Amino acid sequence: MADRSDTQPPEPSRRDPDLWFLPEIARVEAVRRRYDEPRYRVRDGELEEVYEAVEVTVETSEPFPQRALGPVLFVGPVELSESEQIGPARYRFYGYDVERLKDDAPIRLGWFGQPRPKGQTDLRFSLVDTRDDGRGRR
Amino acid sequence: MERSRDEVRLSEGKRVLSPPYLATPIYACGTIVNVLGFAPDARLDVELDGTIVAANFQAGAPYPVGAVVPLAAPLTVGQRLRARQKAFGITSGWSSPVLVRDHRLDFPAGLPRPEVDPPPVYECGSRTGVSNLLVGCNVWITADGVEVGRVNGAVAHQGVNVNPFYGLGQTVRAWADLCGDASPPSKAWQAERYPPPPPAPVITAPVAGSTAVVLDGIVNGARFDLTRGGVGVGTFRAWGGRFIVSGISPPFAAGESLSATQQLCPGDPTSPPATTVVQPCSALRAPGVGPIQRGDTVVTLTDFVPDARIRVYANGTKIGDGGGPVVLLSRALVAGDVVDVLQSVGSCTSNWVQELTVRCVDPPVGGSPVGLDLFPVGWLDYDAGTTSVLGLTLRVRGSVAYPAEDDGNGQPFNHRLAGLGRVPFAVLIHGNHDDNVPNFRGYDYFQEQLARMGIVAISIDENESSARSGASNIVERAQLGWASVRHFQALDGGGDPIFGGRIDFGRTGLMGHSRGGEAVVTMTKPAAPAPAGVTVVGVLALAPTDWGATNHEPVGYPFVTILPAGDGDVVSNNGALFYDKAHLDPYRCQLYVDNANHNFFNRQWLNDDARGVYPLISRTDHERILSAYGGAFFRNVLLGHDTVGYLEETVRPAGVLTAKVHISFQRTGSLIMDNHEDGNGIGLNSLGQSTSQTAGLTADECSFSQAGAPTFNNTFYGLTTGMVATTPRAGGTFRSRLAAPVDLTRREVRVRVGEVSDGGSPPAGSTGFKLGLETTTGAVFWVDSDGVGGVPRPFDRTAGTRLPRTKTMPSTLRFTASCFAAPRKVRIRAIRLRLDRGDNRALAFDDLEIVRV
Repeated sequence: MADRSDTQPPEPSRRDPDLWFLPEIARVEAVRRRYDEPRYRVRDGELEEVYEAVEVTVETSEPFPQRALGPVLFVGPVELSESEQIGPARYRFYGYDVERLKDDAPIRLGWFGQPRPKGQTDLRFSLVDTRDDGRGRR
Repeated sequence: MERSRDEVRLSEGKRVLSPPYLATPIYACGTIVNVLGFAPDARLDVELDGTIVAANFQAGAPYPVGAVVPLAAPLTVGQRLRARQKAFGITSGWSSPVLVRDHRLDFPAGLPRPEVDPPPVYECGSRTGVSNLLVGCNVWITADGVEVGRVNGAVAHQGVNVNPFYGLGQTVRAWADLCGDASPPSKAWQAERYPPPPPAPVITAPVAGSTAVVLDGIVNGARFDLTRGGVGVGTFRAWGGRFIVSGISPPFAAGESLSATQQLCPGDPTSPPATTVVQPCSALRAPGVGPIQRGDTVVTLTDFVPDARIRVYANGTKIGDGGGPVVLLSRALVAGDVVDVLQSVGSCTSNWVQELTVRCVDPPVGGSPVGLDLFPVGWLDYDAGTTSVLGLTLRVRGSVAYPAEDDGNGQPFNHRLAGLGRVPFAVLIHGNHDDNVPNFRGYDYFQEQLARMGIVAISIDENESSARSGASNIVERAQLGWASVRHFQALDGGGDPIFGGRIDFGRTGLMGHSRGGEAVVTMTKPAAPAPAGVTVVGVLALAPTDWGATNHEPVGYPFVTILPAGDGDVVSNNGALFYDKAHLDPYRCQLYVDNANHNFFNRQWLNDDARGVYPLISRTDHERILSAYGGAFFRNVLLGHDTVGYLEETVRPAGVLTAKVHISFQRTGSLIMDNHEDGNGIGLNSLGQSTSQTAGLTADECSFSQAGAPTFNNTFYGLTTGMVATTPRAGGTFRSRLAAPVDLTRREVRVRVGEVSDGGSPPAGSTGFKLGLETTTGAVFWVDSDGVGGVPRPFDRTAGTRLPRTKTMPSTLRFTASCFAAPRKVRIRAIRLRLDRGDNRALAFDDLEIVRV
């Protein structure tokens, strides 16, 4: 009787996106800004209005993967976890505790809730200027 | 395990013959009684209100349908039915009596919706299975609105022959009624073309002595011819899948050849033949047996020959004798009983028994919590324009599934259900993912399940929030969630033709996944206050994040979290923080699921977040876990159903890989002996009573968290304080006193326990302990943790490239009082935990409590 059974190895596993991929920082600019219309932060479970922040705009080599955790920007030991994507590979991080952000502090990218990445970085924090945004830009 | 019958000593003992049992519930207007569990070819007596109305009824095969005994007149409410069997010269006792009920009390909105089972249907289909039926109802099939088949007095899953056979493209539906009360129609199925020829069926070789043969692979509605030694046995119509031919005479003899072919449309080519040869009696194996635990009075079989006689022995003496799938026992099982289950067909008795030791706790398998299929489901996409959230302009939109008159888009709300009052409301919120994907559609299977139970279920499109991250983004998602709820409040209050006056926002349940999981907890906090008129009665957080949007304390509602052990995204399983801080209002539950990832609960999320480093259960099994436990939760909090047992693990949901699910559960009202949150040190428990450590055991209170202090090691990811105990040699014991002696009648001792991981691969072999009840006389009665399910193994995460730590994740073990073989009404003064494995492994303990059951 002819054997009519098929066989072959399993399909190779899909190469799903690496959720932990961190792009390189191509450019960074930090601006202190005041707002007519408030932004919001959460502190101790309470929602607070904020009218001033340091905005650190980062251009990256590639976009961050979309996932549950989000990117954070480390300015020295300070973690900026509030962010928004403003371009294909352009992100703005918001630092509300302005006084904690020290000039010349090293800048690194990381993932929220994860240890600060180690290693050298040439990027340093430097606040460009203070801008009032009469339009209350969001 | 299977053991040779030669190795066990089995005694027939007294003349034991199990009573049969009746398929329940039994409703008025039914004209049949369905009797099950009898020995093959037994004769049945059926008694109605003390009068035998069916005597010596020839029962035939006990499986798959059992005996359908016709009654002379329709049943009425309050009548009392029972049955007994006669076989092997013995008359059994009577089954437990069953009272006839009024179906309208259980189903005030009408009969449950019949299900064409299995689907789909095919051109020339000659028979259709219909399930989700009330026993005794009338069921019929229509094709393009014309009745083509009917059975009056149906069983729960009824086959209906159809004439004429289905034509191509016809719309086929099933209907049911009882007492003139009609069900909604089943889902509609179009008769499809099945390209001929159908495949050969598969015949399971029967053993000599059997009078039944099992065929699989039958195409739905096909007719098959069975031959025996080349001579036709008959032509059978079948619904798809498996068919059992019973009552074959004479019984099979070893070496006989059987053959079968199947065909759909007359004139089409038939299938290739399936062939098999009858096996000798020596091929009859032991049956498969479901979980059994102390107190069980039945044994449920998972695998058995359909026409087999099933005998059950406890410690060598027969205590049950009947037919599958359920055999009633002459006494309740006791923990430690050695149970042997044996099957025989005709004169052939298997050489093998299935042997199990009765565990103290091994919960039975119940029905599926989402098997409640009452209503057709209507669907709509909604778009309520825009709203302002945290200064952002965002769209308010998503999808809604609701109980309807019929399936489909924009169908009217089910008028019979509406006539009973407003229905509860479920809100589902997805997490952050590629915003080119309709992420909100990923829970459509769960929405459908909720809607067919009578719940309006919305899933909110929050893709516009994917551009932002941070705790404020969680608040944004939460507030956007309430915007959708306000939209439905407006529809409900504004006379919307579908939702006007339909929704009870006082029964609102929330489910969120990932960032949505944190968002739904935030929806109960001041940062995202609920609209007026909305009361949240339950929250389910599926793999939630912790961006810091809340204080981690779910309060004022029952809370459930599902944590995938193989989560490659939220690798810290942040939901454990929420579980540990959740108030007992009145309960909390955590499911830690081995071999599950973050994404596969959402059908739109296609990638494996862990990129293949962990072996995973299938996507379907992920969905079944959300369906079963989420369904049990929402049925309880939204519909008031008694389904908490699935969360408390006193019963397991059918069709779910429950061995992968490790549950922590705690409810209010228990006597908490020690939750280690008192700050009074290890020497005192939560009752302020002394503890002690003896025989070398060392125990101390530690933070079961990443950030607290002191910690035992860095493998704990919760937010609580517990106790870690170690002992260099077997026998080290921890003792915890009660403030006053306690009678454990109708109580359980529960403790949350986990094998402490060192972050690496777990060592080979499980560990455990013994829990002892110390009576007021000083006697101690012990039960081993293996007897109540065992301490779960840590899920090995070392293959991962990110946060490779294997976690310590405790789960709840239940020690029922009667497990301990202590004298009745004994009072206990202390509980002991003895680490007796001699493996020097640490165990983490928390939430030692005594629970009334």
